[in-house]
Amino acid sequence: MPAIVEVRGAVKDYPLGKLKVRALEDVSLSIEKGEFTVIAGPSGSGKTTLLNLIGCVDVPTAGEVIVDGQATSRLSDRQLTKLRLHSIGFIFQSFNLVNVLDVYQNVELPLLLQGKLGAAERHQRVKALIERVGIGEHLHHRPNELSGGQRQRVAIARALVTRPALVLADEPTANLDSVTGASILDLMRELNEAEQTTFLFSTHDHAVMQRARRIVRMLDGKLAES
Amino acid sequence: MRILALIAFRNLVQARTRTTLLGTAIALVMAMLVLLLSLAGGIEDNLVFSATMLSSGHVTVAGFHKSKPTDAAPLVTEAAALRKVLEANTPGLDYLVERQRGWAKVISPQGTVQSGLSGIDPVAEWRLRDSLHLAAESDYVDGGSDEVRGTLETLGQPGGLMLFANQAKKLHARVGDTITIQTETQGGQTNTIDLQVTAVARDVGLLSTFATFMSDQDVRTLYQLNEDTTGAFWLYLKDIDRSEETMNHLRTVLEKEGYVVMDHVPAPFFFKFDTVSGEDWVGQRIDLTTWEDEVSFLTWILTAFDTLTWMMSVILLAIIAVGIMNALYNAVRERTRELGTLRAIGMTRRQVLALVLLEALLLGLMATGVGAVIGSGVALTLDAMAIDPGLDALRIILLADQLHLVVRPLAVGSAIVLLTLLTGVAALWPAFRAARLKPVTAMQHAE
Amino acid sequence: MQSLRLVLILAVRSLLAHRAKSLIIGSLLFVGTFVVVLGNALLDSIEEVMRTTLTHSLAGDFQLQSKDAEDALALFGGGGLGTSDIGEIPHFEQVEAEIGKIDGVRYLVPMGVTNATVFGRNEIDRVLTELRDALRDGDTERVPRLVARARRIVVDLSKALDTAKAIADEESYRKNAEALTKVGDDAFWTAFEPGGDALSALDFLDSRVAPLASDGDLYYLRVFGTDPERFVEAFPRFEIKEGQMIPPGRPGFLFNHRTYEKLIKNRVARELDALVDEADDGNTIADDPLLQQRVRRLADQYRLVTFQLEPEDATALTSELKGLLGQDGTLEELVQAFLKVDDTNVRERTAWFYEHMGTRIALHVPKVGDSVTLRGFTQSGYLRAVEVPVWGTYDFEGLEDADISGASNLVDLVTFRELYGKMSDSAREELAGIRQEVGVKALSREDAEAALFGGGGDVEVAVADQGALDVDIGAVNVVGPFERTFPAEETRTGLVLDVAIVLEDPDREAALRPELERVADGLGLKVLDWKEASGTLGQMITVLRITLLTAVAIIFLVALIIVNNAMVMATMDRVPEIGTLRAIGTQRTTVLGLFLVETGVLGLVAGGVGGLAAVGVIVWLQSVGIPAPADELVLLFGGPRLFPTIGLNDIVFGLITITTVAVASTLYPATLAARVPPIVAMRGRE
Repeated sequence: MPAIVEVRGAVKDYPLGKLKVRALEDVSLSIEKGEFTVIAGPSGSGKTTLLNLIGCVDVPTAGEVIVDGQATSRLSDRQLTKLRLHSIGFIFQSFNLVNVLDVYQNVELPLLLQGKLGAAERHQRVKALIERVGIGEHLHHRPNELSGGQRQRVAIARALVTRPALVLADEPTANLDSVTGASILDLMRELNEAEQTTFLFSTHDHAVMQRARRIVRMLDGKLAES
Repeated sequence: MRILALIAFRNLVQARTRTTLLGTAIALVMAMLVLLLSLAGGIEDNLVFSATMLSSGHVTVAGFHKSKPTDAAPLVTEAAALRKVLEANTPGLDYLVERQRGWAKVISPQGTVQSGLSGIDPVAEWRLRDSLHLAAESDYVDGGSDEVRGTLETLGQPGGLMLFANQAKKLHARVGDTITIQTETQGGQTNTIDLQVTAVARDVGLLSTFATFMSDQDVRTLYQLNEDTTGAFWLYLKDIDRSEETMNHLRTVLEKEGYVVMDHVPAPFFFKFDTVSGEDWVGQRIDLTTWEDEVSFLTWILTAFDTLTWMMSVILLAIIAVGIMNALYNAVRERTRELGTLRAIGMTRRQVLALVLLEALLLGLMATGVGAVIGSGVALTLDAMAIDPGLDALRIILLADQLHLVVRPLAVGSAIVLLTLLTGVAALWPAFRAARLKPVTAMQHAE
Repeated sequence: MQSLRLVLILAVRSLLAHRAKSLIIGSLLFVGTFVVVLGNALLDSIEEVMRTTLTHSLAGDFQLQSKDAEDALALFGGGGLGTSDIGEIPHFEQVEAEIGKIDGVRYLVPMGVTNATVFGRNEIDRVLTELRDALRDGDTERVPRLVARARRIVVDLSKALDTAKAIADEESYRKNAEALTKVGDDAFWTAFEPGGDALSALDFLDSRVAPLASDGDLYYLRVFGTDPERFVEAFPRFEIKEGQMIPPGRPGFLFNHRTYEKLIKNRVARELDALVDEADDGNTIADDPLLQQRVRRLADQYRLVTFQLEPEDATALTSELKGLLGQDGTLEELVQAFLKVDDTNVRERTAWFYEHMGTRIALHVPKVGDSVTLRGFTQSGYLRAVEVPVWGTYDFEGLEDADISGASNLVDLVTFRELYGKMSDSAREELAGIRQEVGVKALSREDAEAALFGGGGDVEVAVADQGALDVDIGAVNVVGPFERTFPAEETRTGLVLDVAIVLEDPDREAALRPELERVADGLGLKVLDWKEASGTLGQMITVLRITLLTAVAIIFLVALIIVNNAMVMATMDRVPEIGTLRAIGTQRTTVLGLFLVETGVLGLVAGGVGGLAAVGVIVWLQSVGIPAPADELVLLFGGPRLFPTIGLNDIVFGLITITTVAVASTLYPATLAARVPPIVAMRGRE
């Protein structure tokens, strides 16, 4: 199996006032296609930072992150954006749906941005995916009319609609109760198995870790155990 | 793009209070702009109307005749021949009329006014009867009845005279009175003619304070002119906007026909006596002008009005721009996470920029649309009310005795485009800020 | 008190904390104040400048006018042309006795206004007058020379007759041809030889030939009649530019200097002056097609220089021009070449013109020292002509370039009354008689004068001789008109049309008005202040003020909405903070007050800065002056430049308005803030 993500000696510093805070120190990690991996660690351990680097929403201070075969440090913002659009799906802790769009439109959005699919095919795919994540009856509801779990399902559908090589989920269950969280995880697991989509989570929730196939542990910006 | 427009529109609906307030401000400015433009349009309309009725045709073919070098008689000899040339060579000519022109004292037993004389051919100038309106007697006689006296049917018949209400008032003249017209030639020779008032017309602004209509025959007699001499040919075109073009065309035509044509000086003929009387030539020269030249001494009003409109617009638009900037800046700040998310899931910077700009443009378009409707409505209502401005100074500025507003779709349309574009420009700064947002902001939890 | 201090501190703190918002709202309030204060200051300045110029020139602090007047007095012209009936005040002495008693009234100036025409140059009239004089004096040397000149003119006229045939009707052509044939014959001129009937020949020339030879300009003038002595005392801006003031007890006319220079002056000289002005303004002929056209037209006017030269002057000028231009040619060609000025030589040539040409031709016709015939129409259309000497020219200091004041020429009151013509019954009958003659009627000059002077009106006729219309150019023998006198008190008694009142202290205008009105009412008069008396000009100020107020109102309305919007947004941001304040026990009213004080302070600060900026601009303008964009505006600007001033009242007005607007725009967001429940503080974020 080829590595979908290759992190080599990644270092990330953040300025904090006049000080520099090192959030990530010499992290190297490889994730292969079809993995269902969890990055675990306490708050401030650097797991979100690592996820940001892999998600191409941030670039390392030093080292290299290779996503879907592309070395991100050499890419322009335009290319990074393209990479995110085509190769990566995001699931956020607080769902981050576009409030003014309904469920269908939220899910459809990345496809519209890609602009590759025709209307019919797009409609079919969006509809199917929404059914698949189990909120088919809420097609035309706005996010604020949905429960947290339902919102996260919309977010999952949005992340998967472009059939990305990699789906990143930043604490996807943090804002959900445990039962809902579990069902969301089950959904992701199912999708992982069915579609061979690579999933990478950050979490400090044990329930999540239990369902992972691989756990990467972090502490103080370093990999503790892989 | 449609999805961007949808998001932008829904965002506006979401922020209802903000949108309404900002929209009201923009609509207000737009309505004001439309009102000012309509007023300017009305003034221009009045100018064109009164100018082409009282001062000139769309193109005026006149000239000066000098028997000796010191003369400057505003006359055209061999009129019949010139008429033929003009009729044959004016493209887009609707019709042409001959006007005898003069400057005289109009004397009644109770008063004197100075006025220009327009000698008209009653047959050729039937259209004039439709443009003029008889005044009620109370308009010019203190305690007069509201009845309309006299008739325009005999306008231009020898022996008859038409006054405007303001003149009749000064002269204390009524329909049926005998009025003496007295011209003073340059040599001090005084010619008079007695005419009977056959009609008193409603005023049409400043120019009607020095216009009086009578028969062309009577003007000729007054100035002792022969039949083949006239004052001016007034050419009316099908399209007034082609006046200048037509004038230039006629210039070459007339030169080719052997007429001596004077240099084009954009001024009314009565400003030219001074120059012409100093020039060393005798005989006939032709002078071509457009209607704008003949009323060029009034264009300062339009200039002043345009300046006012311009200054008001700049100040108001600046205020509006600050308001829009502020509002969108806040909107962008409130939606930092959402915009970051959009960037994270693959929206390009340009698309984010477009999203914010679209929001502003949509707001601008809707608000200016509403403003245009309100402004036009108010303008049309005011126009229909035909308000008397009350002050002479205002009557002079408005070039009419009643408030007249004209809503010009083209002007309103350009104002909409301009104002909408301005909203867009004001949104640039917040839009760029939004576009510069890092996708990583999506990861930040609620503020 | 304690809480007020706290509120104030909190307000200032939060203003500083939300710098961006404060800056945005502050800048709006700044612009608003700036516009209001600047606009008001400029308008007040214009009004003040106009008030002083008008009260110091023609209008005085107040004007009195008959209550029965048909039209309101409009010293600077009404809406249209023509005479307006501003009524009559039959006995000025009564007014002086009654109004003059009122404490605070300094001067009463009797006045009247009418329109008159004046003829300019007329070659044949000049020759014929000189001929008449020469005949009277029995000057056998001059008579033949003048006859020769007259015959030259007649030859020219015969040529012109052919051209005139193109326009004239047969009847008038026949009559004119007849006259010219007669005078074209040598036999006619034998009358001027010793023993001939020279006078009847002269009469024929005067009546039948002279009108054909008209080459003079006709000027329409606005003429103010007054008591010259009183006028000078009452209006400090009055100054004589050329010649002298009309002496007391003498008839006389003063040209407004601008009229004299811009209307009466030889056109070539005027155009050269104008081109020098353009050069002074930095406009170059080379870059301006309009100026190029003017220069071309100027060269076409060469005849205005050449035609009136005496033969010996023409010869001298020809050789001088050859020397200057270094080229050969006829006088006409040389003058044309001379007048084709360019940027490098326009000043030089103008100076040369005045030195070499201006001294040989009449620059002004009529000029100071001439006597002119003013012709006017009485209220009832009766023609009046009065000959009056031109003593000089005058202007009002600071208004030299003002277009409208340029139209005000002065004449003594006795002559004015003559011109204005009080109709007697007999004169009225006579006019009716004239009118009864049907159709066209060519009144010869004799007829006109007979109609005028034969009637014997009730006003003493100041002048009546055959040469009334003739103008003496450069003649030394201006015996008649300049020496005539009348009792000086005539200018202080009898009929006037209006009276200017000048106060001891112009600031007491408002205080004195009721008293003035009461007394005036008893005399059948009404009182107008300078603004009312100045006609449309005064109304322009009102129009400007209405425009400014409307503009400011709209600007503030828009600004109010925008500020309101910005404040609502700012309030939303501060909901947790407000919740906390409420939770720790701050009253609703205090929260409300906090917000209001906040914008109040902001309004004062931004408004203060805006006001200061406006003061700065005004102070700057005070030193450089705002140039009047057009001559029409010189009167509004009180001179070629307006030097505006700013009063404390302008600033205070601006500050009060802006703070009110600021507070008003906060009312809604402040109530929103006051409604925030304390519980939100507990909810934490979101």
